[in-house]
Amino acid sequence: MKKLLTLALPKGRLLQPALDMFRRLGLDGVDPDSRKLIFSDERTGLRFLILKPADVPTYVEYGAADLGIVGKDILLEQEPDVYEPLDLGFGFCRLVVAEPLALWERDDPSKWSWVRVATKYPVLTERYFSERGIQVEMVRLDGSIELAPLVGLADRIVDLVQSGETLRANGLVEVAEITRSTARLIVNRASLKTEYSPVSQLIERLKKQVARS
Amino acid sequence: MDKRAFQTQLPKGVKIYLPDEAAAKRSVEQRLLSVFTRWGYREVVTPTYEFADVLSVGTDETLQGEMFKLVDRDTGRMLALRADITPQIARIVATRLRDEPKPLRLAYVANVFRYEEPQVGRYREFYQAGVELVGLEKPEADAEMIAMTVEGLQALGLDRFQINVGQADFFRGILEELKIERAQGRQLQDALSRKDASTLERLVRELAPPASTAELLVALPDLFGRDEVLERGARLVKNPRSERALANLAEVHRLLRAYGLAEAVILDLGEVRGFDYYSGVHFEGYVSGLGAPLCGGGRYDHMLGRFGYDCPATGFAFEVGRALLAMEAQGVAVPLTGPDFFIIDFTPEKTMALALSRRLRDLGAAVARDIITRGLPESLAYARGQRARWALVIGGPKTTAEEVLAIELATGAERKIRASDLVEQPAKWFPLGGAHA
Repeated sequence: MKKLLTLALPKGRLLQPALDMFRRLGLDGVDPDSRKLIFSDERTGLRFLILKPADVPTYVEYGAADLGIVGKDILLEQEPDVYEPLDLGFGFCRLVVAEPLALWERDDPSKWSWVRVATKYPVLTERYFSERGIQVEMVRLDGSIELAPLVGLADRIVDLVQSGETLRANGLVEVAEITRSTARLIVNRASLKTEYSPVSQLIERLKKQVARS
Repeated sequence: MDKRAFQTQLPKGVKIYLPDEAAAKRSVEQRLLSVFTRWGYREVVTPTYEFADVLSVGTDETLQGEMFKLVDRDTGRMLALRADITPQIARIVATRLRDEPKPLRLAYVANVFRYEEPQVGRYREFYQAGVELVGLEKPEADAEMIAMTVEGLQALGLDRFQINVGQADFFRGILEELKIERAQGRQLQDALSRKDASTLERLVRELAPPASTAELLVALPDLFGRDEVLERGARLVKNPRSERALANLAEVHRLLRAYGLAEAVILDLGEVRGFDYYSGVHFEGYVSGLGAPLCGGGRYDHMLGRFGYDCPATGFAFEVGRALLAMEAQGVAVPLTGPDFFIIDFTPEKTMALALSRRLRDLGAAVARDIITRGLPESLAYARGQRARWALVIGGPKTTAEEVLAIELATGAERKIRASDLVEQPAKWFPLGGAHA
């Protein structure tokens, strides 16, 4: 039997567009609503793992998956030692600093010298503020970051926004953009070399898909 | 006993090799060292710690930051545990061996220490087996490194491997051509090391170099593969330094073909990892089943100069821990052996056990004794657990005082041998002389 290439896909907002992309390559039989976490497709020679987004780089870096799809935000945060040959174009969002409207009305970001920030991106947050000479106290959270300023856990947040709707709904205003993100294809360093032809063929086919859309 | 009552913690990043693991590790080191010896390399032993500033001369900035440091009580100067063997050998050659006829072929097996997060098969203390080839600038030296690496992989019983070969001067030529600031070059290198085509395209747009250079830069992440890469590169490259690098890589590749290794090699003109360290051809070895390189090396012509002796050099090293993981992933078993004989003596005097073990050891056999007093089945079970090949039972229930019962532990086959015959002529009964090894 031919060895299947293993692909790590992230649960959540990137999963559907990622599966659509592979469906256009002739993949079927992956049901994102099922509770299964692993799917094999003999015809395309691919095996899929469905993972928490933040775990995708780890699987690929260690070679438990040959390839993966993950947001650039997570790659910037974790800096895994992997190749990232392709910007897939979908899943656009921005990492921003936001604060409650009441604070925003009297706030002057150029005067910041010390801030307390809730985030699940401690590395990017630390880097952003320290590059500007601002000391940052971090409150590390794993979800519902928007809640932190409302209950006094932190004055500001650093989080991903797509439309900005969640910020508005929670009375928050964007003050600064840290970076932008889209979904990336990542590849294990060894797989690109030891599985040279199947991996590079798959990258080529995905590249054509991206160029078309 | 309550284990919590004792302090038994280990710090992060160290690893204990228990007997079976230690045997496997030793086997990897011996197989590699024996390849090095067959190519005419001689082992050197370097100090575990040295003055930090001296080691730093031959160490790039990132690795300098990862060195374990301590204070020398005699001088108050900073000491560092070796993080890499190559700078040590470079210094040794530049000072103690500079008048020796070249080339020098040196090998080492040693532990190194790096303050970094534990990675695939690598702890903060890890083991390397490698060589340095000093005094040759010819492509044949680079080809020798790669050919030896392949032989090392084969000696470990590995297959489905690829050696990824780059040439550091190729990208250096492009950077020169661009005449950009160091920080900008860093960004390009960083994007390229991840083969991050979209970031690279953005950076190239910002730099707005001449069209031909821009075309080459954005093509770099894809410039890897078989020998057609050399032609694709040659069509795109416009500066003399990169052209020389490409010609050098082509020559190394031609030699590798002559070695019959063309299939084992992937050329990668966009490979810039280790860029600050290497000056020419450099490479990493990957095997199917392990997500990280298990060996690598390359040319470092400028390092000896930093110790006051200008001399070209190249080398490579295997990571022993990763080699073990790769063997496990590919199902390569390391044969584990125990003693040839296990002697069980039920007599109170033990005269026979002592005489027999002395005699067998003198003939080169490995002999262990059961000193604990217990029943025969328990003793035999212990002997099997130790992977002994034969048990010799003295004074047991099945034999007379003049006899020894020999049991082949794998089969349970028994035979009675006259004790005096056995001491006189053991080789008559057992295949001695390294038969078990």
